[in-house]
Order: sequence, then C-alpha cells, then structure tokens
Amino acid sequence: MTKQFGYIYSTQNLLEIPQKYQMSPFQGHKFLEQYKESRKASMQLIKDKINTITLDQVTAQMQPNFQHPLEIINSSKFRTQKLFESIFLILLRDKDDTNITKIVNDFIKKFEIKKRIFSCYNKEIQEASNDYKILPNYILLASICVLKYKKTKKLKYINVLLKLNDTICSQINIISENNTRFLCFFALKSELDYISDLIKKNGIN
Amino acid sequence: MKLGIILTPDNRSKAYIQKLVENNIILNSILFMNDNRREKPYSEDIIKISKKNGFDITKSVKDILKENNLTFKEFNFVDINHPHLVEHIKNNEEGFLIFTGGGILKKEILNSGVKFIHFHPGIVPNYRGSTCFYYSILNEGNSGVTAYIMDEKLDTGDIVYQKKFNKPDHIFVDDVFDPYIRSETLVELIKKDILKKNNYKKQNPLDGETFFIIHPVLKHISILSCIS
Repeated sequence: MTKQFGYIYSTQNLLEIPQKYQMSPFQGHKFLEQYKESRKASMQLIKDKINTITLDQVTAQMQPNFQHPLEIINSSKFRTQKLFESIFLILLRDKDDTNITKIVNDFIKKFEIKKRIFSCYNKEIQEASNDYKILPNYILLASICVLKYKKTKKLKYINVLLKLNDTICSQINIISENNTRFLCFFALKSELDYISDLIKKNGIN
Repeated sequence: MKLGIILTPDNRSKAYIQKLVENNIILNSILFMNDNRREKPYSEDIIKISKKNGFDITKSVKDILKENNLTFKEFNFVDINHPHLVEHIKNNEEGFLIFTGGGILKKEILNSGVKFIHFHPGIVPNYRGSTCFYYSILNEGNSGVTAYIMDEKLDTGDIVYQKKFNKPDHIFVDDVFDPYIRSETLVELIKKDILKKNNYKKQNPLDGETFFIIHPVLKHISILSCIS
C-alpha cells in the first residue's frame, strides 16, 4: 500500500471494504494538498516500475482483440476487460456515439453503486461472475473516464474517476503488467491534471 | 386542499418546521418519524450561520414541535416505507404530504391515497440524484431546488415548483445550506399557493443527468469555491 499523507480515501483495501464517501467532513485547503501528495506518491511508485512504453504500443497490443462494443455486449456472456479495451480504443479514435456512451454510463452507475467491477457480464449487463478483483478492469474504466471527461467535461466522469483511482491506489502494489502500469499512471496523471484545472478555474489558491 | 408533513430527526426537518412556524403556516397534520438519535454537537460558527439562515440547528425537531404546541403523531422508526406508517396514512391522511427525508417510495406507500411532495436540492432534469448542490455550484456557480410529486423512480416525478439560489458564502453546505434552500422553497411554494394551481410539469425520465455521492475532492473544491 502507498504511504499516505493524511488522505484517507485510499488507505484500506477498497476492493474488499468499499468506501461509501457519505457525509465526508470538510477539512479545508489542507485536504486538497493531502490528496495531491497522496496521488503523487502513488504515481511515483508506479512510474518507477514502468519499462519504457508509449500509448501507441499499449493500444497496439489491444488491437488484435478489438471487436465493436455493441457486438461484445450482445453475446450471452462477455469478458469485461475485452469490452473496456474496445471502448478505450474507440474513444481514443474519437469514434464514440450515444450507444457507446450508454454502455460507459451503465458501468459507471454499476461502479458508483457497488464499487465493484466483475470480470464477466451477460447481455443484460448483469454480473456473470463472482470475481471483482481484476484490477486492470478498474484501470481500464478509469482510463475510459479520463477520455470521456476530456471530451465532455462532465463532472460525473471525474467523480467516478476519483473513486476508481482511490480503489486502484489502495491496491497499487499488486499491478504487475507493464501495460496496466502505464494505463494506471495515465489515469492518475490525467486525474491530477483535471483536478488542478478545476481548482484553478474555481479561483482556489 | 389538505397539506401535511412527515418529519425526520435531522437538520432538514429542523429548518422546515422552524420556517413554517416563523411564517405562521399551519399544516393539517404533522407526522414525526423519530428513532431518538443523539443530537450532534455544533460549533459556534455553524450555530451562528444556521440562525442567519432562519433556523437554529441546535434545537431538536421534537423540542421545536413542543415549544410551539404543535400537535403531531410520533412513530418510533425512521422508514418511509414502514407498514405502520403506510397504515396510518391510508386511514388518516388525504391531500398532500411533504416528505422531508430521502429514499425511494415503494408501491404500498405510493398507493396510500395521498400525494407525496419532495424538495430535491437540484434543478431537475439536469441535476437528479445525490449531493446535486455541490455539482451545481461547480458547474453553474449556483444551486436550486425542485419540488416534485414523488413516484417510484428517483427524482423523476411531476415538477411542482423550482427555485434557484446563489451559492452560499459559508462552508456549512450539508448542515445549513441544504436545509436552508429546501425550507425556503417550501415556504415560497405554500405562500404562493402553488399546489392549488395544479399546474405540474411532466418530466421525461430519460432526459438530464443523475449524479452519485460527490467525491470528497470535488466536494472540497465546491465548498472552497463558495468562500474564495
């Protein structure tokens, strides 16, 4: 687990004990500083373990498994990772539409309510597996939210991105694959940049 | 037209009932769901701000009701779908009941013969769901309240009245600003006789945006933007 600097929302194993975020106390400016320090520490930890790779190389490795998301969710049972990789590729190419947005929003709602993403779902987008411990799924959904927020600036995407990244940071030491580490860094760095922009935009010093 | 209220032991209900008393508004019935939870201690700052916003946060709902000799029916639970409450409403209530608490109403209570009005702290359909005032402050620099007739879904019922508010100039958004904007809207709705006009606006449940509990980081940015 990453060393924390007073930011308590990623200190415990959030896959096992999800954070509810209800009635969180107001702690002033120092809370935002603690958040930034905590995220920077997580980013440094993951950065140190990444072997040189680019986003193009990461997506090139996803490409052979690409299938249109609508085809994927029409099968009786599908792997979440395959769906998320395909959505991520489509968003990167800026080819998303209302159908893709609906799928993304359905998964965001699922995560916001249960704080868990399962390894397989059926065509009604109901859980088709008991396994919710596959961290790459959380990292892929976080990366999808990065791209959706970048395009729409809708707060719901950064809200869920923060929660996904809390979960990811609480388990950051178990990320083993280089591609996943790269995407994890991408999600954390993008989130921190977006939050810094929001702080600035709202005139907070 | 009969109008009653269902109170719960929280800051919202404190604000609702104090504002109604202050404005000499007499309701046909007061139902109080009370689990006798312990009152939180409050700092001098928040007490001062709550009073500035028209209610005393230190006064319990029960004390306010008793101090003002208001007749009320008390239940020893806080659950809008509780069978005892449903039974009481079926047998004793008519017209409209303002429901101050949260949660989704089940069929049994929705079919109990009255219409339930909820004051949601967001302008629907753009702000449905949870903690909407924080999102609205971040997006628009203000917030709002929608009074609507409750149905079986979340914040999709017919709109009775909407009112916008400037963002607060203090940090007590959950404990003061939220109760303040809801209670102010309630008083205005009653004073303007909006319910009698029977002019409700239908919503399309597919329109707009539903929000989930705001992350503490966004919450801090929203609150700090109020005092920057």
